[in-house]
Amino acid sequence: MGSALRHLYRALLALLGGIAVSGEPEPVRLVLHWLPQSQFAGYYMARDQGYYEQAGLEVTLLHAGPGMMSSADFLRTEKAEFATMFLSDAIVLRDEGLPLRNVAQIVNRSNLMLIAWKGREITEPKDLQDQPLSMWQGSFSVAFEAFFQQRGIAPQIVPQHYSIDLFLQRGVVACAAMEYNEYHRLYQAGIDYEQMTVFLMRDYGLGFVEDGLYCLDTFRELHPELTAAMRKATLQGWEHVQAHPEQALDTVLAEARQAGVPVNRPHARWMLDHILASVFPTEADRRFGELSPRDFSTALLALMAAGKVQQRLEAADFTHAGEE
Amino acid sequence: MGNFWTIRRRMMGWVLGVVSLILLSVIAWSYLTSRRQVEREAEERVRYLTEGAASHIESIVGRLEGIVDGMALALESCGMQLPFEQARTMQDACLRANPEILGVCIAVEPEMAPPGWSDLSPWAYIEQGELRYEDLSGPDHRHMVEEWFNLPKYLGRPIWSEPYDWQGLLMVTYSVPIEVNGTFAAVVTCDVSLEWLTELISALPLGDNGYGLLTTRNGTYISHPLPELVLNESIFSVAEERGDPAMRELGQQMARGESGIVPFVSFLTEEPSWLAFTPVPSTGWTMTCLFSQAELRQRLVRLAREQLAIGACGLLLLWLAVSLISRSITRPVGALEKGAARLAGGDLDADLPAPKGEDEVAHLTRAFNHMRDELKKHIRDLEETTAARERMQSELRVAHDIQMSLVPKTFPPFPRRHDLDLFAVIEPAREVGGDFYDFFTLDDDHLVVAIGDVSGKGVPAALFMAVTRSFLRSFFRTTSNPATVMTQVSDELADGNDACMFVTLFCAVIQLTTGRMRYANAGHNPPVILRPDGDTRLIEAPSGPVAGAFVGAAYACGEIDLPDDHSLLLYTDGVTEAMNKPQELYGEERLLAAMPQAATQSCQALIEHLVTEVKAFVDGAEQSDDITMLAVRRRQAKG
Repeated sequence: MGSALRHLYRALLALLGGIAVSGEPEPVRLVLHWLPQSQFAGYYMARDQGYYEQAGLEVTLLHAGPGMMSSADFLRTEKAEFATMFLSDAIVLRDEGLPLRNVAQIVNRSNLMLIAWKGREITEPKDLQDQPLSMWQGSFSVAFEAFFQQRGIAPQIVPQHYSIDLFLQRGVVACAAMEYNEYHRLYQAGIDYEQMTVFLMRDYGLGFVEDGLYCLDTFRELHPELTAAMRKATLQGWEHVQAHPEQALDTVLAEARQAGVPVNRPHARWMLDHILASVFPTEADRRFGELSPRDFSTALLALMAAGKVQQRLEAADFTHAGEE
Repeated sequence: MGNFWTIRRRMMGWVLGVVSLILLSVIAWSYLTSRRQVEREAEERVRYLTEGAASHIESIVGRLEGIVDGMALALESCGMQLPFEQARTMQDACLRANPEILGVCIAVEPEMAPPGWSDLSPWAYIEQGELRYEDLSGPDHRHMVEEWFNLPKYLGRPIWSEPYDWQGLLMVTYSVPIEVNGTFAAVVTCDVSLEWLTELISALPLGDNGYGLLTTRNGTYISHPLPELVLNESIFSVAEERGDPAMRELGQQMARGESGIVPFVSFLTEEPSWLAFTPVPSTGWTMTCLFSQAELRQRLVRLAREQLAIGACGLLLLWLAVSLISRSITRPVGALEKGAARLAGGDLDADLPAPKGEDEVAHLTRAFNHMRDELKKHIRDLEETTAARERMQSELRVAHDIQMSLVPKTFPPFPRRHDLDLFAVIEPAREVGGDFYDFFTLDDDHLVVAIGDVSGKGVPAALFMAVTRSFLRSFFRTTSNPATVMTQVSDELADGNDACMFVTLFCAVIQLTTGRMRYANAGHNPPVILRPDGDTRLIEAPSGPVAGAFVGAAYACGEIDLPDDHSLLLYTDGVTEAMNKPQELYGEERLLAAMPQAATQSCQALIEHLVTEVKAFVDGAEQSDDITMLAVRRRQAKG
């Protein structure tokens, strides 16, 4: 498409979008990549506080989850217009040909970690050598594999799925965990923090930033104003969570209960505290809602090095690139 | 306000107070000692019930485990070489025979799939009483991500899953791994619903006040009377939310498979309770039972309450008894008090309560009665004495009146006669004596003077004196010889003198022109003649016996000159026997010594001087006899 034509096309779309905004809100579906939990507090608040509505969106929140298709599959099969997913998953899928576009980077920090039994004499990475270790498959494994390579160790890998029961049953000496979730779940299974040795990937310069808001490039080109509105309203939702964490907690608990997801308040609070610390970064080169070029290239290079990604990808072709 | 703390109230207050204190102490002591005992027993009972509950769960769940173990053994023994249809038949038969099982699954590792098996995870289950079937695997082998598949696979042993929500059904799954030639090949599982487990627990014989709950090895609630806790919460999440490290420690003890009993505030009833926990060994679960401490202590409280009730009845009886006793004491005392108050008010006829029995109050009442009687008697005596005294007083008055009416009291007696100076005085004692004096003229030239002292006192003496005076006056009408008159008077008095009274009497007839004086003396004190120069002379003789003592007494007549300005003093023994406090008599010597000072003064002055002297001598001592004196003097005619 020629540049002039493209501009004309966009102007037309903007006009249509303007009509839409001034009239009925545009119905869109946002699929969240896991069951209701504090990880998604910002989206709930954007909906409940009317930020989506104010932005001219009538957002339906959907949830992916275990035994269901992934959030990316929702996009692929046009069951949703927007989806959240981990950056690493998005890059891999993009490489596989799904034209994903990062609309906003929400979780701007890696929460990935390995937890080991201190009682099994695991105090440093090299103690994991030849030890049974459970870990998630898929793009998460990239960070862990980079960690094993960096430390020169080779544990026996056992696939890990939804729970950490195998670890709790001492079936493995270490397991993969999210700081905001499994780490505290272990605590809530009666394991004291002193009993655990923790290897937090970001402490080793590994691990990627996590949840991002995505849509397909095709949708974005058709509805740039809806994409921008979705980005803006979602970030407003997160700012509201930051200002009113207890209100957000009530909403999360209500969502989880309605969905029949086991939940308890102290765990939801723990998760919210850690997610918020990730959403509002303190590092100089990270900004709220933005995927920094460095985080993007770190993830891309690591995934390429691990063989998960074949083609080089430009940041400008992946991120929203200031189209507000 | 009257005195509130009467003896009765004090008595009741003290007795009831002390007894209540003792009673409460005994009850408290008994409560505390038996509480320890009862609490030990309660703990034992709680422990026993909890262990019983755990064994019961173990026995039922253990039977299910046995069924699954048996199926696994059967599959393993044939090396999984079982036609798919037979496997399905076995599943359905198992479900039919064991209605408590929700579903049975044989999930196969894809590489180890037996030949001819179309489905890799056949699951037979019961829904609304109907036998149903589903393949949990599908083309993407979904079963391989399930914990009930992976846990036995990697642990190499049977295991109960954590509770989970399978399409709206809350359940736990028991999975047994099957190995073929030392390689993991499949799992056999059975599912039981949490609802069924909860029913099992609610049917446990834990009494009215206890309830049971079941937690997994991770502390997650499988069964709890609060359904919202199940699946969502673990002991540790609750401990975290409540900020209760002790509860967390409790959960860790459970996770270690320990047993114990601790005090705990139930969050179902919010009552202090006993929490007892013990493992259900084959499952890794923990059976926990809570029993309200209040309920367990009910027996104790009932005991204490009974003791209190009995104590209260006892106190009531004691109150009645003390009330009656104290009333029996204080009522007579009160009546006595009223009677005594009336006695004190002078009403000696007031009724005192009749003394009953032999106690102190009866003695006191008797003493009061006696006192009253004595008082009455004393007052009666006093009245009699007073009457007698008044009678005597009036007698004395009569005697005094008689005495005073008999003696002439007008001085000067002969105002026209300037040649005669005469003065007399009678100072009666309190009890009238029998003194008298008299003077009268026989003619212009003869003056009779007399003084007497009758024996005895009072009215008889006065009467005797009156008679004596009458005789004296009448006999001087017939003769002027004083001795004759004296003899006649004595005889007359002695005649019929039954009372044996007598009189000392001196009488003299003075011829005023010459100063010649004739006299007779019947045992009376000798008169004194005082010369103007102060010289004194007693007229001692002649003197006869007292008059009236016997008939025939004879008296001699004495004669003596009474020159001009010589004074004749007659007196009674009341003067010479006047007594001072040291019991000394005034005596004639003092009398004679006192007289010269008034030798030239008038008779009145002389007598007043002597009376003053005598009174000065006795100095206030009581006068025991009349003091009577008469002085007469012939004065030289003037010019």
